[in-house]
Amino acid sequence: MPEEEFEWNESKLNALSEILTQWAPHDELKLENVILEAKMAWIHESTDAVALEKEFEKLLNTSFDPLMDYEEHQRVKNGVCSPAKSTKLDWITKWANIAEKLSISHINCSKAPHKTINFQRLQILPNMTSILAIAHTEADNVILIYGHTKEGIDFQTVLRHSYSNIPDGSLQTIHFLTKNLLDLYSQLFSRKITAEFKTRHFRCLPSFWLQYDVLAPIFEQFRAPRAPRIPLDEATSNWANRKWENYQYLTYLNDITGRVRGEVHNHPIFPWVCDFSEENGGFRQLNRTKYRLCKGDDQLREMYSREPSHHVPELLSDIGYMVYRARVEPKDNLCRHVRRKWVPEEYPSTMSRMYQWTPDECIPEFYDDPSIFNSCHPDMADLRFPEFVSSPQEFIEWHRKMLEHEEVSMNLHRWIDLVFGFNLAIDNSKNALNLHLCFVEKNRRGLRTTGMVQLFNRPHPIRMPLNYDPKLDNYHLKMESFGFGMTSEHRKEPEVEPDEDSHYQIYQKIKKVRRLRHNTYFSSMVSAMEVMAQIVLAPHLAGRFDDPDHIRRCIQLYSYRIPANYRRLFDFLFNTEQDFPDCDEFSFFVSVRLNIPTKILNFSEEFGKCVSLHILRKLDVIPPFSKRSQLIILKEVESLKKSIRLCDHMEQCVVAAFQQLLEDEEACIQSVHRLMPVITRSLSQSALEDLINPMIELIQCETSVKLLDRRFLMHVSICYGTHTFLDLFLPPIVEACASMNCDRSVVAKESIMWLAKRYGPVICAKFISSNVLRIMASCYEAFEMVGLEQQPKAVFNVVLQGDETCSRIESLLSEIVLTYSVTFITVQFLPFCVDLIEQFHKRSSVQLEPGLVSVFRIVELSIRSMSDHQLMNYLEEFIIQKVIYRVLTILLDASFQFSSMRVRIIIICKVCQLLHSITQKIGTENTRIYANQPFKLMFSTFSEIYETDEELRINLRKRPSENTLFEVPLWMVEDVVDKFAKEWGVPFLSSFCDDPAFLIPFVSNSSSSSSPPASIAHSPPSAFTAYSLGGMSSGNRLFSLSASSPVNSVNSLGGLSFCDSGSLSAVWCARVSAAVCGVDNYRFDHLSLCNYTGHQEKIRKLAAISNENSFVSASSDKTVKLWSIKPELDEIGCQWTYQKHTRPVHDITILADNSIASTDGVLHVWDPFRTTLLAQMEWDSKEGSGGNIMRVENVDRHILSAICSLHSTVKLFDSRVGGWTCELKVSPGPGLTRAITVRDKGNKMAVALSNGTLAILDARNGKINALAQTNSTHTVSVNWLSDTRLLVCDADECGIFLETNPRAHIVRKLQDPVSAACLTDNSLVTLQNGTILRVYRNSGELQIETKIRPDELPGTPTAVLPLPLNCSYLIGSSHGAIRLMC
Amino acid sequence: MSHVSNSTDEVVRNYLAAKSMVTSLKAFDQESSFAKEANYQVDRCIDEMTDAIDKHDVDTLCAMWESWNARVFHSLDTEGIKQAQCYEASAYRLFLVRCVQKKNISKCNEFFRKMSSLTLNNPQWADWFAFPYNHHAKDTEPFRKYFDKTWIEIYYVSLHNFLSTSLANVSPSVIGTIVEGIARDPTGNDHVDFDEDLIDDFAVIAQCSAPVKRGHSKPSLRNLLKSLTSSKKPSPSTD
Repeated sequence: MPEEEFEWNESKLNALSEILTQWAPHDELKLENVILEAKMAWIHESTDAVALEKEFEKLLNTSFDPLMDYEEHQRVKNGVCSPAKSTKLDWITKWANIAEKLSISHINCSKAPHKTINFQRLQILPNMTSILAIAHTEADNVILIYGHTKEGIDFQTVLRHSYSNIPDGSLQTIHFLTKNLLDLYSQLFSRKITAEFKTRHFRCLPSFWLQYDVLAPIFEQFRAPRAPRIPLDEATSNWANRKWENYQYLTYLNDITGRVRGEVHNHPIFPWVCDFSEENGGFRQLNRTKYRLCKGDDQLREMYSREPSHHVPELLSDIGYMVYRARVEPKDNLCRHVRRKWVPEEYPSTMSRMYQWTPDECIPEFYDDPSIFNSCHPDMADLRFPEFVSSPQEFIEWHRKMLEHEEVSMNLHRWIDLVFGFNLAIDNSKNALNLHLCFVEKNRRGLRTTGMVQLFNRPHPIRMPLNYDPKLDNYHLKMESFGFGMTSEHRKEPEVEPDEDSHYQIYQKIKKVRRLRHNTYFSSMVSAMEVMAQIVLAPHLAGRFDDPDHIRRCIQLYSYRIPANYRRLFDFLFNTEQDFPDCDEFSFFVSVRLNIPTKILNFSEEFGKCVSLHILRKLDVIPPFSKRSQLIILKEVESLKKSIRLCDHMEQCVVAAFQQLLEDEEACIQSVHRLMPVITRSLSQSALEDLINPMIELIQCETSVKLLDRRFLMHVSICYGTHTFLDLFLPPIVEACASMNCDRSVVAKESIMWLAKRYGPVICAKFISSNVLRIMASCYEAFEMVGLEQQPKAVFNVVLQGDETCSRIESLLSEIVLTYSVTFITVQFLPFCVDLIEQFHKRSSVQLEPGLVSVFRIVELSIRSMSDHQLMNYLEEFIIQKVIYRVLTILLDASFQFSSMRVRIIIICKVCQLLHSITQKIGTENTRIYANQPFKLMFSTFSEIYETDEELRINLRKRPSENTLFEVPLWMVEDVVDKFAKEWGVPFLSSFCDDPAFLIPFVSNSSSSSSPPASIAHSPPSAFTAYSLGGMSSGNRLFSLSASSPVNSVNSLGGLSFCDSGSLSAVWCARVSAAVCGVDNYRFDHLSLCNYTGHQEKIRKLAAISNENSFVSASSDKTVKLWSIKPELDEIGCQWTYQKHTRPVHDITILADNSIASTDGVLHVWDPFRTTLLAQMEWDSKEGSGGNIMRVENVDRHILSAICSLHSTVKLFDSRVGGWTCELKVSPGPGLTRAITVRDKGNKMAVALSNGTLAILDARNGKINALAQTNSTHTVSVNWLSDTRLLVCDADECGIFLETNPRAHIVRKLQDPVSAACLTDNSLVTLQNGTILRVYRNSGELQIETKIRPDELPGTPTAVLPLPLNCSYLIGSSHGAIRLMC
Repeated sequence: MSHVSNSTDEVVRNYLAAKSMVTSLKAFDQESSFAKEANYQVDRCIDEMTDAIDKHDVDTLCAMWESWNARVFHSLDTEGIKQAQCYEASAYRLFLVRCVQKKNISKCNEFFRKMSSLTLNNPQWADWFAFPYNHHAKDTEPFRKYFDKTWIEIYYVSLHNFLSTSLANVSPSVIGTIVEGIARDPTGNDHVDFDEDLIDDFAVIAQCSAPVKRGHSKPSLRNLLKSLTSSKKPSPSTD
């Protein structure tokens, strides 16, 4: 069935016009299942016609002519002098013109029979809020129909919290916003629209993209005009001079910090003023926050000592707010914010208790809303007010009186300092114990919209005392309140008309007239500049936006905060007589004047495409999952890809856009597949870390199937490195295996198998199979059976709901065993089973019950995949004793609790089934020898429960009460006996019974029912031959037949068992078992796992890819070889050899996108997979004598640092640029560089010089942090151990640990000189004194010390590389041999 | 990068020649022949700066920083901008220190007059207005480090590095991008190999040499060793 696409076309417009006449405001406007947003406005008497006319004029300009000669100027001048006649508003035609201009569809239904409908194709301007249609239903109203836009935050809110959104120094963000503004200006200008830009008409997308609502200024005219807010300083002086009450002033302050009533996280804050203990006292200290009063200074200091260091988390938390309003808020709101469980007694019952409990400040409702006391919940009492008032109204009056009390008035300024004032600034807040979390919090997702806002930069003035006498006061108060509420005088000088003599003056006059003529254009440009100024100065505006005078004053006051280029631009705002740009050149002029980097220009151009495509797709005009929508997604992803490449410092935009796509069900798969490679190559580490959580959520999403495939997983593992991948991404993938969604679990299973093969046996055992075992239990969580019947009827062949999924996991495990070896079963699977049963035995819990069923599955799988020898080894002790017998004792003992009888019976059924399959596998005789314990237990239990009388009727036996046997239902007993009797025959069966007579009734029943099989069953020999062991040799069979000494036979088998182990060699098996059993990673067993042959001469350096299945080696024989670690082979040749080097290779390293940098004196950067040379760099310098490049080291994902034998500088190479980017000096003194090491994404680089100096600098900007003096002049290598500690290795001296903080000093000296060293996350591996391998922990203590013998490795070891995930070491020698050892 | 800048130079040279601005052309040639080496430029900049400080030349110093702010540091990220502000403030403070050491207070005043837009209302400069009149400045806290020889040396080295890193990251000029666009257009697609998938396993690469053949003597020895090691091996723990 072809899906119908919703297109925005003429017929839809007609349909819309039909609907509109019935539509009333505040309803949903629904058009064919699509809900549209609409706004309506009417002209009424109070509307200011002149202002409206002006607004229309701005939208409907006549064409702009840049050229105008003098005569015309005269004419215009005369025209300007005569006042224009006010014409009547021609309402509908004006709207029609606007619609045409902006290419918006227009509907006119005002003249009832005739409709005029004008359809326009939808045109999206990236910086404008898109409007679908303008309509009229009456002659004097207008309806705007918007597409659906959920995203976007009010731009003023963004600016208010600029300390977090546009932090100090983020010039690039400012450039980007400015560029947006300029684009908007030119988009409007090309349509001859001159908007007065105001910040309140903008919205800001999470990706910092600005959107402007063109028609908002007009709509403002229809609304009742708001009284303009008075400036902050005036308000302050009003309060200080007692013109305003405390209540009014506090309301005002809350208002301009953007706090709105009813918003949980951004609600107005009022102070608590008293503790409700007495009627006229108990005032609270206002010079400390309530939080500090409540928690005490010690706790605040304690909080400050932690990361992130702050004193106050919130002044009014959502919990506090909800508890205050507990009587009014609905129950589910309370449960969401306070505590999920509804306990009405937890909410404080009286005002004084509320005050004592809360760490938060008060809310204004307690000063003005009596209804907050009356409970709307039947099970919660009203909030009780203190005894001295009699009703809520009276309380409110009294509380207001307390707020206006003189005691409060005289101290309120201290509180304002803490909540709105200078004590919020980071340097002042530390002393006042008032550092708020919102100022130091890092890595928030998206833009900040809540938090504190600082209004004052200096201490708030005191309120005048009641009996204030200015004469007695020695200027104290006056000085304090100086500067608040002063009126600035505007002086307007009469303009003197000079005589028109010089050309210059004529030119000036023409310009002036032209400005008058194009007045709207001019004011549009000025307003654009004002918006820019507000972006730059956001923290200093003190909540007052769109006030031109205030903006200008701030520019003057805080000019040091304005970047140099902007400072020059804003001069125009002060002196408009300057050579102001023409309006058609404005955009270009500003971007040149500001010198906006071309990177930003290109990026915003590309990103604009992406945003507008996104907006188009999100408009409700295009239905999701339609073909058209898919097409748009493709385009959107493509342009996002391009913008990611261009993003440079604007990563936050791209990350926000990418996150949006990830959260979008429709687009996530496309975007992930197409963007992962680009992201890996272009974004920085921190940006990638921001994306981890959305990615994991995406994998966890139950419906996504495609995201578990190999390509995506490989991208993720390359992008984040194998460590992160295994820690964070692998568990959700394993969980996906147990998903109820069949496709999903199949795909997940395939992927995991692929991962297991890809990462090798050790990682598989450590990370994959252990997780898989654990996840198996979750298949059986519900214990639901297939079919309608929920009670099992027969013991054998009980099928549970989870069996299908579980069998998939089972096959996964058995594939792992097949691929690697049976060692997995013996070392991991069976111990896991035993462990789980032990846990259940200790504390039986409902969570572990499904685990028991999964244990049986694991055992069955193990039996199937083990060879006969191994099975006989593990059968008696492990499988029979520790698993089956143990479980049976638990199951048949009624003192162990199960969640229900049904579950217990199901588990018993499963055990019996397992026993049956074991007996089938090992044969009858072996069963009698090795596996008789569980049978004996079962039959003895049966015979204790049931007895038979003379007529062969079976009855329950009376038992003493202390007997805790579980009463197995009779049908189960019958089933079990019947089954095994048929298998083995009664005589054999009776050998398991202490009381064989017990069996008679069962057997007679069964034989009467089915005689032919019974006759066969009575012949033991035939049954025995049918089920003898297949694989055992005849000798062993004789062994077991004679049953002389089973112990011996087991031992003889035990000696052979290791030879038969899948595809892995015995050494690897030992490695796997060590990895599974071993707790610590510090061990070295002198096992040689693999031998890599091919190099002719000394190995200089080894480097591995983070997944540890491939590595590269650099050798003196002028080659670099690539190797793959294949666990199934003992000896491996190289995959490929790089032969372009002409001299011995000194050093090698692998970059983030897996390209390789190697140096033989000349740096080669090449791609191993496409075997292409990307760059070949020599050390060129102005002296001309280029030395040899000796060492290379990764700084960043993309940047390499290199040092050279003849110079004292470090050069940086950027793989994105493909060449040297810059050269860093290392120290003021002379000295040649010897060794280099980098830590923390380039934060810390240490360079050792030949004069013994060790310089520590920031590799990203070359700032020198410390210079230390060491004795070693022939440093071979340096390595960071921790943030402050280094290992310095000298050619002749012993290696030393050097602590650099606070002063450089030697912490410890090693025994021998170090010839090679390599660092992992938690250990340091060194080769010392030729042949000794020593491994240290990060803290410095020695973990391993061992000598590598010549028979293990020919020649002396020269290079070492630890593989931490696999707990093994690659060691290269002077003879060119490389061994993988552990 | 380099070929782009060269072609940009060409365009400018042609323009000057077309407009027949001979002296400008000469000056341009001279300067572009000097400015081959990025590091060399940086060295010259720093020399000029120290020169200006030594000669108490307020105008040059301020002009230098102004142009750096406008042309070099305008494309840095947040961290970089903060660093740049620090370096700039330190440069001015070194200048003040120098003036006071040479007892040239009028220059200090000239500086404060000129840079009022930077220093006014700025909490970081609040202490410094009193500096020229403070005779014990050498030992008081905010001023002490500007008298320290080694600190100054390290400052100049760091500044050198900072300038060269930010010059490396400076975004290309408008003309440069246009020229680059023209230069790239004929070649067609840019970044062909950029889109290709990521691979991280060398096993994918076709092996050029045949896998190593085992000799006959080796395996027997190896088996022998293996049996030795396996007999030594402890049986897996059954806990």
